[in-house]
Amino acid sequence: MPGSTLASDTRDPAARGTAAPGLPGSALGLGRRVVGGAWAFTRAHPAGGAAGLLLLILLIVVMLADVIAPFRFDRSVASRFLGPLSETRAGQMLWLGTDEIGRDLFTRMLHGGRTSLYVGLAAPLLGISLGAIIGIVSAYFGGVVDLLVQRLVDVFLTLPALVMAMVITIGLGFTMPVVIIAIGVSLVAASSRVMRAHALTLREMQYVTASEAIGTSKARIVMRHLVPNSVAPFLVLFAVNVGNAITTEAALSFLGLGISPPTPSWGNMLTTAQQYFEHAPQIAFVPGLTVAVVVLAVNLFGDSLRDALDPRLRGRR
Amino acid sequence: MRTYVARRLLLVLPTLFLLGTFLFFMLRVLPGDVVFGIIAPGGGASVSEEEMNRLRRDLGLLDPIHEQYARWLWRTLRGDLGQSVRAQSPVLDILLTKVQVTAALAVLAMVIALVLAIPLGILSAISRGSLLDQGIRAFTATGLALPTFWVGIIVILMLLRIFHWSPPIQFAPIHKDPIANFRILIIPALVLGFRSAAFISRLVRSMMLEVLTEDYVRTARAKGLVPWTVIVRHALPNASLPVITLAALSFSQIVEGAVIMEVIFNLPGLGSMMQQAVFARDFDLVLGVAIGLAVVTLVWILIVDLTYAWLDPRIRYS
Repeated sequence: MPGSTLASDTRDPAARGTAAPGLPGSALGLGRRVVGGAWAFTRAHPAGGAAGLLLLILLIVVMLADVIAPFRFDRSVASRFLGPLSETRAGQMLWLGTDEIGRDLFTRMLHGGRTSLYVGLAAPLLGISLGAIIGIVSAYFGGVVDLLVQRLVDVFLTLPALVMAMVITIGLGFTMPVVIIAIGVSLVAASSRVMRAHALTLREMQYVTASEAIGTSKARIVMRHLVPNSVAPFLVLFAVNVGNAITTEAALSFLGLGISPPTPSWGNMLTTAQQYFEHAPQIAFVPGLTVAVVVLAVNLFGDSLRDALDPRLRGRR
Repeated sequence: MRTYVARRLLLVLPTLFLLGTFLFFMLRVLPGDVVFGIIAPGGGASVSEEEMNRLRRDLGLLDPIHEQYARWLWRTLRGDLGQSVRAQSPVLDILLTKVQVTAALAVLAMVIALVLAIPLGILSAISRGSLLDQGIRAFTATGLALPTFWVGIIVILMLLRIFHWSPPIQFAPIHKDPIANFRILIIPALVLGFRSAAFISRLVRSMMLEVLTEDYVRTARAKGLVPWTVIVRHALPNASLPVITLAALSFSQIVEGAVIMEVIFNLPGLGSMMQQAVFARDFDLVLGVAIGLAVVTLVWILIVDLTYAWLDPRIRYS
């Protein structure tokens, strides 16, 4: 967009000045602002900050799964159902033991975590972005557009999200991109409702009226005013739905309708848990508890983020 | 009120039509086909290509998609959801028997959720900041984070370990043996209801906190009413409308949960039917079950909307 770089330059000359002069300033300045913001957030919401840090570390660890993992996720490395902290014949440590065909559980947790977290982040990003666009456009244009869009949203709200996701994976296949699309699409209807409600209040703002008065085009008002001002509810909605997406992926894969083996996911690692529980309870406990802890952390972080971004909620609780 | 009911009922038909169409086209891209499921359940290659093509032609699977859609639509409008190619019986008959299990499980879970959530939320709100409140909030946060299906698995395994109880292989339908039926459904319903209770009680708490600061609550207290009466007669009714909204919304989550519980607890409902039908590539049955699940939710939303209009006159006149 023309002029936008200029605007940001004039807006915070101070920030640029303090960011080490002589260096390609904007990147460093942005870095500082992010770190500073994160620090302020952690001071105000210690639990949320800790949860966020935990998630960040976890994300980095699973992204490096190929480097960290001691074995291959699809090869058996020792005899089956070994307990945690046992060793292979060659003397390598099996931190969490082995599964029903002797694959290293720790390796599979890392790779499964990559699947689960990628889906957990990508699906809400896709679904809520779509929902936001639909909601904002529907609210701003109003009238017939709004009426038609909202009736359509009603239709999709009738279908339980998991069933919607199931139908899509059944139709398009059991791979990671499809699962991301499926879970993303299942979030569109509900999130478009939330974004619409927010955009309805924005539409009445004076700066929108002023912009209309000087003859700005509708598309430009949506892009310049409504979208930037919807970032806060977008972020909150996103954070709240990451946990949902992770559990939905786990449930889908558990049923055999999500990510299909041999690619591990925390969900499909539990598919056989019921069968082999007697031999190796860790097969059931490790992925399940991990999902629970991650979702708890995501929810804590999301709640704190909502408190931080929604001034109306400040001081309540 | 009558026009409102009529308007709401009229909206059901286009909703079902659009849903059905979406589901039809979504599932039509299904890879692999039912023919393999019928002729070669074990995946054997002993059947000739010719024979499979004849079966596909008989089932209408080779026609252009718009013809298949038109045929499906015409059939569905007359109340015929097609044949389950594998079970050799009409999809509608299968649905009508299976839907009872799913609906019973979901409604039971909903009742459990409300019975747990409302007292917990109220207790948490009136003892705000106390140890009890902290405890309840920690409990609900945990309830929200534990994946339902995993809790289901662990509960079964624990019951098996400790009480040597396992989910029965034989299911007892509600009209034949209500007590046995209840005993089968209660455990999965508890697992499901527990999660929704966590979800709902958080809202009950925050609504109660809001309502308790209102002037009429102070007035009620000032005139010397027993604290219990203040809460039940004055605060609770005013906090209940958003709670009903959330209960309505969380029903579709309960239906989702029911789908998974049926698979884990081996219950013959729509969810386990769906899973079997998918793996058998039984197209009409998958479509029918998806529609059935949507109808269950639709009926519930309708009931809630009507209750709303009955409780709040502003809605039915708008």
